[in-house]
Amino acid sequence: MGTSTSQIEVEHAYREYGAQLWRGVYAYSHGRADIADDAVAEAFARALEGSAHIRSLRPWLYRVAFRQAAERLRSERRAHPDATKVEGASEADPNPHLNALALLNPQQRAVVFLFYYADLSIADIADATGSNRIAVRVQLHRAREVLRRRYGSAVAMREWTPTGGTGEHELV
Amino acid sequence: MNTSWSDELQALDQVGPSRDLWAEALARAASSHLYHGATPGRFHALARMRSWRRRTAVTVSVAVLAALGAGSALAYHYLGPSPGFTAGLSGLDSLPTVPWPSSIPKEGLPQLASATGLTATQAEQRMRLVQSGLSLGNQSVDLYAFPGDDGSACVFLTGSGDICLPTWMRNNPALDGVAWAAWGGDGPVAPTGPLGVFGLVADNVSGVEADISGTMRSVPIVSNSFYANYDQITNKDTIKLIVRFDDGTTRTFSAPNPYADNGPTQLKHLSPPTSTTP
Repeated sequence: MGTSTSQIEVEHAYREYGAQLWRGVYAYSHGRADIADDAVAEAFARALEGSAHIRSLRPWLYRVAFRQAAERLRSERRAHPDATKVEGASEADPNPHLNALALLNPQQRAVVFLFYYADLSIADIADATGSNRIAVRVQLHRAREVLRRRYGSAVAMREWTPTGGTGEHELV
Repeated sequence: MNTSWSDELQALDQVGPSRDLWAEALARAASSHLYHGATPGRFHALARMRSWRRRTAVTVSVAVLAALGAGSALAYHYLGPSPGFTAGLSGLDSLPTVPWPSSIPKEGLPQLASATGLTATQAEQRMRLVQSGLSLGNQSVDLYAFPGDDGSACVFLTGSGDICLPTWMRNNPALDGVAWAAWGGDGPVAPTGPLGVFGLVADNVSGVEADISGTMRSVPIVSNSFYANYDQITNKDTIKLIVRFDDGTTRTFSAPNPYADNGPTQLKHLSPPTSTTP
């Protein structure tokens, strides 16, 4: 493998895990399909423009998309500080059952998604979230504690785990 | 609700994007060169964007041109010429060239030139004044453009920004040869403000209409360019462009509202057509 990414690889990446990236932003933004659409399109657009300088495409895409979503959420909060639901958000939420994940902050949601759903390594999660490995483990630990308090059993948290783990999963 | 968090994660399998985001990404990547002097922070962000793109423009252009070359030849053979700029920009070509205007910064010129198959000097020498004395809010603005090689071109609205159809994207069906943008006057820092809708269309375009939240307005085509001024729109307005081709087809493009919350830092000039009618 080379040290940079070609435009063809960007297209392959979209086909391979574009939908997963979308779901990650969707979970991160707590069910905002409009934000997920915008963030994913923008992330791949930037990847197309700067593909020659991207070393690890998948975490890079997540990082750009999450930042895009975070910026959008921040701007909405500034514009509507008292609103519980921002105008423009999908009224017909296609997946309104994000109750447990709603207990987490966006960063924790991102980490939980990347670890348990996207099956990224701790290193890649750190890359994807613009953080470091220790911070990722702390975020995961705190997220699990929140979920444990709400759902009572750590066993329940492991009733579904992705296949093909990297081995780093045991570290948290 | 007793749904566990792992069930929630699994349920994400059932949702996904509702439209083709790859086409949208291609359209967004086509071109976006802003030099709008709004807030300092915004200005620096844009400056970084230009530098970043400048470094990658040549690499990306070469790679994509090679990939598109064979496909373009096949498409031309079986489908005929693209309805975009490859149909010609005769009106623009016939205009006299003018010196590069001082109102348009030249710092992004090498990048724009590269995207249109030219050297910076060539691009500068091809500059045309296509419309002048236009209104944008309380500003007087001009529309400039230069034709590139092989069906590409760039168009500039002084004080606002520019939009190009680069050589490496001209055969992208999502763009279809129509390069246009919508941008505000003094900076989209308020929820309302003026709007300028501008762009270039090829010779085989017979009409252009702007659609602001359902209100249609016919926009005259002048030397392959068009410009429509709106004194005030709000951040809730929708912005669309309807382009009618000589062959009877109509394509509708959408642009983001520059006054929307996430608009200023990511003006997306182009988006895939949302409908095509024979």
